Amino acid sequence: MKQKVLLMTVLIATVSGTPARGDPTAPGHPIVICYTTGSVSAREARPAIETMVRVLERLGGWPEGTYQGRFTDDARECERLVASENPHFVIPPLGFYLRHLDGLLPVARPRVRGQDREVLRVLVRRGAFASLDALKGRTLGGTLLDDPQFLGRVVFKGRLDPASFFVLKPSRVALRPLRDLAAGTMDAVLVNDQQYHALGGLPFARDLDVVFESDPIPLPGVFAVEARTSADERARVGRALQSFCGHADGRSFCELFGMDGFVPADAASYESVRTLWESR
Amino acid sequence: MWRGLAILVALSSCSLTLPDDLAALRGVPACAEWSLSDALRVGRVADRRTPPADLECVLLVLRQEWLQGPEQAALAGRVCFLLADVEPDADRRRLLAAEGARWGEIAESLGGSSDASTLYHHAMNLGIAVRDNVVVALKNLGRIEALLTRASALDPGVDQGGPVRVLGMLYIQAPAWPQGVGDPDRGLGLLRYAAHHFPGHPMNHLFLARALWEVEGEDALDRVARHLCRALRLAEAREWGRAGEDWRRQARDLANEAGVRCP
Repeated sequence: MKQKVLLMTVLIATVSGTPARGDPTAPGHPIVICYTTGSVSAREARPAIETMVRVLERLGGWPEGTYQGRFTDDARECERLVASENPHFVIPPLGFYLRHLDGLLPVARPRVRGQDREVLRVLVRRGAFASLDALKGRTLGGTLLDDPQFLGRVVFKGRLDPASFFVLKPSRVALRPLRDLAAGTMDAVLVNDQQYHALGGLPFARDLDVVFESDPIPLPGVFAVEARTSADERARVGRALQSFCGHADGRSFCELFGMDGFVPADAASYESVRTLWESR
Repeated sequence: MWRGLAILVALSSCSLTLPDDLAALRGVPACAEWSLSDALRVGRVADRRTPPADLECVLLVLRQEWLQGPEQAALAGRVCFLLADVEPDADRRRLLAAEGARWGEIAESLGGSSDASTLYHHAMNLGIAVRDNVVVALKNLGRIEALLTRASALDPGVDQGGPVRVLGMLYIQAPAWPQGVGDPDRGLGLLRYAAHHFPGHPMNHLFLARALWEVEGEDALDRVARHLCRALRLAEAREWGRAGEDWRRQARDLANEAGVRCP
């Protein structure tokens, strides 16, 4: 799940679309994108969507307007959209996929700078806490706290329940909790790989320390709603995604975000997290 | 000689993926009588009230001058910005702004890199030129940020807080850390500074209202309303020319979105 925030931006740009232009009376098949761990609004996502949906349609051989994107940054709205909008494809957080295993089929997963997984880490001020256990009852901030159940079962592997172990302080802004941590008004912050590797650019990076590292977790991908898609449609979307970074317009996006491309995905791609999810 | 070389180097080093064409100027015959001194005289005092026809004549004369000094190049860049900022046609707007960005590079290569106005208008032109292409825009964000940061440090008072105002909005709207340079907290801080120290410019209040609404939402509704209504009042002044109409429209759009009513 390396570079989740970055990845979602690319995924949004890659597989979502605006309402059909070719025939306004027949809107395209919905693709629901749920980005619940960052600060990307629908308005901000729109330009990328406008630019890139055409690429996917061209690559897949569909007429313009075949698909339309439905974006939300809210987990409840994500559930509602998937239940009410009859989407053909969903790009959800990994926890959403694990809750809807029976209806969703993995189609493609991204590879970012050679990785298709990421590690989550808990940061503290250097020397303030020696272990994760020492953080019991303390504040934990970050942008990745929207699904405590997923964190408890998969990231912390059942070792603790974040909702009761920590005082959770979720944030839409990644820098804010880190500044609070450096200033001493936050005890710990959960970060993903992308955030962790970008810490070097912050003036207080050397004051921070890692007290917990998760096992590598698969990056979330593109999932088909089994009941509404044919095997042919799933295969075409999968092939279009795999050639996306090779297309002139798609390549510039992939280069911009350091993405190598998409690779095929199936249930086995997520077996490790599925086992953790179901064993608790 | 060195000036001509500098111009060639500046032009050939443009890495902006911007168009090379120049926008056609509409009133070319009317500019036939304009001399370089006419162009410099009008250009030096040009602002948002200057008729576009006069701005085009200034630009046409400066385009035809081979030996440019940093002041002339900076002036051409500022004129491009004044034209592009109110140009309704997207293609023409992009061409004018791209030309303005090149004039900015030329001015800086000729020694104008410590002039806040030159850097600010270079950044504004670059921003307008790339904003319709998300990939090109993202690629140029760091460069725009650097220009505005230098301009803010040299003289934050250009265009009544212009470098600080635009830098603040860039931090609000750019992809946030760690993907990009976006930093909502920093952006809000800069916009508060601009609205406080340069309260006479409507965009300082409109940008702050927009940022408060986007970052703090309903919790900041009172402050959003206060700055939004002030922006609307200030934008009615004649000094803003055609830009004032666009700013009022932006303010009304935000008022509708936030459910704000101004007396």
